[in-house]
Amino acid sequence: MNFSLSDSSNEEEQLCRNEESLEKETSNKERDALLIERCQSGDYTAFDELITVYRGKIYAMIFNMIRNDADAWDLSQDVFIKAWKALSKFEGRSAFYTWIYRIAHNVTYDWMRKKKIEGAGEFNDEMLNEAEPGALTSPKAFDSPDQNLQRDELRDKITIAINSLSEDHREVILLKEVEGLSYQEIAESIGSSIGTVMSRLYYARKKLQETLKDNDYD
Amino acid sequence: MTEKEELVTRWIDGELSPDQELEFKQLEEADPDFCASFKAASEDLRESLLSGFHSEMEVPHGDFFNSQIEKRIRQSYAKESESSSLLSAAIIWIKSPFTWVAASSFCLLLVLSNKNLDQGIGSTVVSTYSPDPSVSIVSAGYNEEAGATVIKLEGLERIPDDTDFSVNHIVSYDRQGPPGFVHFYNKQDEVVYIMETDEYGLPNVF
Repeated sequence: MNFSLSDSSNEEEQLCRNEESLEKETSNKERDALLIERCQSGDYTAFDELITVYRGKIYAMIFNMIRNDADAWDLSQDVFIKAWKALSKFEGRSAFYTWIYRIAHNVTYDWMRKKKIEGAGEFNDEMLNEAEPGALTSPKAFDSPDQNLQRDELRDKITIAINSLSEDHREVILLKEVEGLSYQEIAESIGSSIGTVMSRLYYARKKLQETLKDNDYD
Repeated sequence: MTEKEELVTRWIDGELSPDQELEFKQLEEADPDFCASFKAASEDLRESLLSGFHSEMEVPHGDFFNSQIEKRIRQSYAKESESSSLLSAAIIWIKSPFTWVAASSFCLLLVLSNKNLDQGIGSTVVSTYSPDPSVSIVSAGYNEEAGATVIKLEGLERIPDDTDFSVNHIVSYDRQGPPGFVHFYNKQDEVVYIMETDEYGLPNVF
């Protein structure tokens, strides 16, 4: 197998992408800082803008954890209400999205505790949701039925594998692989150390790879 | 998690420090297959995860979502101001001089009524009963002059005027047993009354 690890064109491409995302991140941070400043002076329209920017991410993050759209909708609202009330204390030491992810993490964990669905390792059929019609990366309408079927099968396998993880491991792997957060950002979001994040990530990857491998032989 | 695994994991996640990058280069040169397979497996997993999970989703009824948040925030503020206005009303009430006058009067009344109660302790006749229907109870209550509870009866048989009550005034007693007898004596040391008792010293009632 040739993985061309030191391919120079690939490295350049990666470098370009990194620079682009860095620029985007910087402009997002500036935008957030301005909106937060307006919110802190009592301007609710600025907060409405913040909601519009982050609602899709917060909703997806919660939905990925609990796999229930109605509850994810309600909990996302709770997150923003808590955020509005706590915004006066926000000092900007961390990025706004890691701060609001932290709130989302707490709200989701509280809800799960109440619902007593700490079923680590147990698979719940209800959790096998169909494709979200509103998902930004949902299958396109012109995919063939075979392609759709394959995609559905893969999604089901992934869902089963993810649900076989504990909540802590599930959250970390989703924040890393799906949300694309750094170790530091994950640690801030969930209130843990980088060491904990890394070990959870390592275990989650290993477990997922094993589960997906087992499913391939079914 | 071994040091080697940690290094490769950091490399995949783009989290290598400058020192670790040098370390990784050495590892990559020494064991390129390990690094390559680790990377391939991680990329496969990432791809699979991204096929089933999304970092952003369209929130159903987005505008309604936003407006509901605003509504709930306003409601919570309204509730808070309602409870804070109740609190401030309570504070005003507490601070009012009329409240203190009323409270003092209430305390005074309470003290006075307690005093009256103290005086009457042991003298309150809750109810009366006469086993003989021909005898009725006219009044029953504490008499301060007598320092005792006085019960006034009507319908009793007339007692002869020459009856000497002082003879029946018991001044001492003598117990035998129990079981046995108790002898009661008057001033003149004469037996006025004899009571039989059981093994517990209680009077035998026939």
